[in-house]
Amino acid sequence: MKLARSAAAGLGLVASGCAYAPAPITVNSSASTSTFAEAQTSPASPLQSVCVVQILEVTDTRLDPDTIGIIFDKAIKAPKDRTAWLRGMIASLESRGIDVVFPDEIATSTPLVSIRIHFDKAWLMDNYDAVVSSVLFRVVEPKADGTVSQVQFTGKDRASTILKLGAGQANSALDSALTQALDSMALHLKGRCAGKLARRV
Amino acid sequence: MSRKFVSVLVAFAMIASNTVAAPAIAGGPPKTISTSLMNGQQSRTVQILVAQNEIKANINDSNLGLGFAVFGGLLGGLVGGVIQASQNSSRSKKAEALISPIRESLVGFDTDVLAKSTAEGSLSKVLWLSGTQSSFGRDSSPSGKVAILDAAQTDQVVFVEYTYDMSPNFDSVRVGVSIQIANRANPSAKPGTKFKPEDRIKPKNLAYAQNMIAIVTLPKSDPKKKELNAAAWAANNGELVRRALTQAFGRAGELLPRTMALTDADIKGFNDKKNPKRSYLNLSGRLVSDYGNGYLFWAKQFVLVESLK
Repeated sequence: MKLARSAAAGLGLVASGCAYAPAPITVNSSASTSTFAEAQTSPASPLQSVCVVQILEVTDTRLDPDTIGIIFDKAIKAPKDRTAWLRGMIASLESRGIDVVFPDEIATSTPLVSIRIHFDKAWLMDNYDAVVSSVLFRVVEPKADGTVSQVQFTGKDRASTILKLGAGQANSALDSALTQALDSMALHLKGRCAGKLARRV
Repeated sequence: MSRKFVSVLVAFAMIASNTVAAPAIAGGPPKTISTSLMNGQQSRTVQILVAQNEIKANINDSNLGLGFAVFGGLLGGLVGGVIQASQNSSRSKKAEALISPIRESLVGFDTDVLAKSTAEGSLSKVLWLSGTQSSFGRDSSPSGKVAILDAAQTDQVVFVEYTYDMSPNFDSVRVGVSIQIANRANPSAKPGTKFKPEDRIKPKNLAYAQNMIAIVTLPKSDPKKKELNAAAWAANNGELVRRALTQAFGRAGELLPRTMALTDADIKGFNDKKNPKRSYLNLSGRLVSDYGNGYLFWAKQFVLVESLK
């Protein structure tokens, strides 16, 4: 099967290389369907339901936010509405046990943590017969003394391509990397919430 | 999946691959800047392209398919092709695993800014391009370049495209630069004929194209011990790989104006058989001069090989 996959990938490379200027692919990945975090958290923990995180700002800091990769000469493009795309990613923290409050929303309970999120990287590239994905979020948390703490969350994946690269494969590769990064961000935020609650008690 | 089907797939892939590999150009682009291009009235913009967000891994391509084909004919070639594809796939997987810690050690190291500032600094030394507006982008795909040309308000676009990667043995960091000057109008389009926008970026229609590579080697590295080499680059939060990338981008910046000033006589002089041969990995040519901690040779492009400072 491994040999067959390699051969098929070779065929895909060739097929995708036939057009001189192949049309770009637009992704819509948001990692919102992930269930990893739910599986990792203990349902008995009372902290889960009270980890309210105020998002002060979400910024796309990528230098060319329109492009998220070149695979076999084919450009991979971000969704047209990048603001909604990015918001969708951060909103998916809800499915990971975080009560997210965006700047345009009113919190129903007092946020325990306030953060700024910078979207520094989302990239897909090819390596022989595989698609390699990588994402990086930077979370900046202002502190009471005026300083800030900064934590980076990365995600990466490598998947062999089968036949021609399509939007589905690009989405899947990016989704996998986003899931990793958002999972680790959620775990970090839960840790921050737990720390704040412990200090209150 | 049956072996027969695999063979058919590979055979098709190999045939199609050969078709794609065959050069579709009748006469390549000019490799030196002509006086008419330099002194012409065309307006230009510069587009700096870095089509990657992370350092790339590389593999030594397996030659098994060719070997099997030589000794075993068509059937041998097919069998060899399948094994070759599998071997390459396995190598690429290993290379990705080895480069992962290097990538993680480079988090926060802004290669884009390095490329942009190096390109702008070196292009300012190309007098006939001085004052030209430059912008940065990632989409170096053919369709991306076509879109840039369509949007350009100038007669020509100078594409300065950077790539950077690790050598297959992880014993060096490489920065490659490709310079292409493309016309917004298609110079080869005949009146009344159908115009294909992508024709403008086909090599035969470019006003100029040239490449260069700056390679920085890891001191005391053993090409047979890629695991150790990879670990050395990544150690101490990527101290060595950060230094190597800075050095390689800097050297590429030095070579860019020199490349764009080359004349046909210069290239003829570089290719003189009296000059000693030099090679590095799959590149071989004639020595141009010593350069820093290493040497510069001509292999249809400048290749600078230097150890890490």
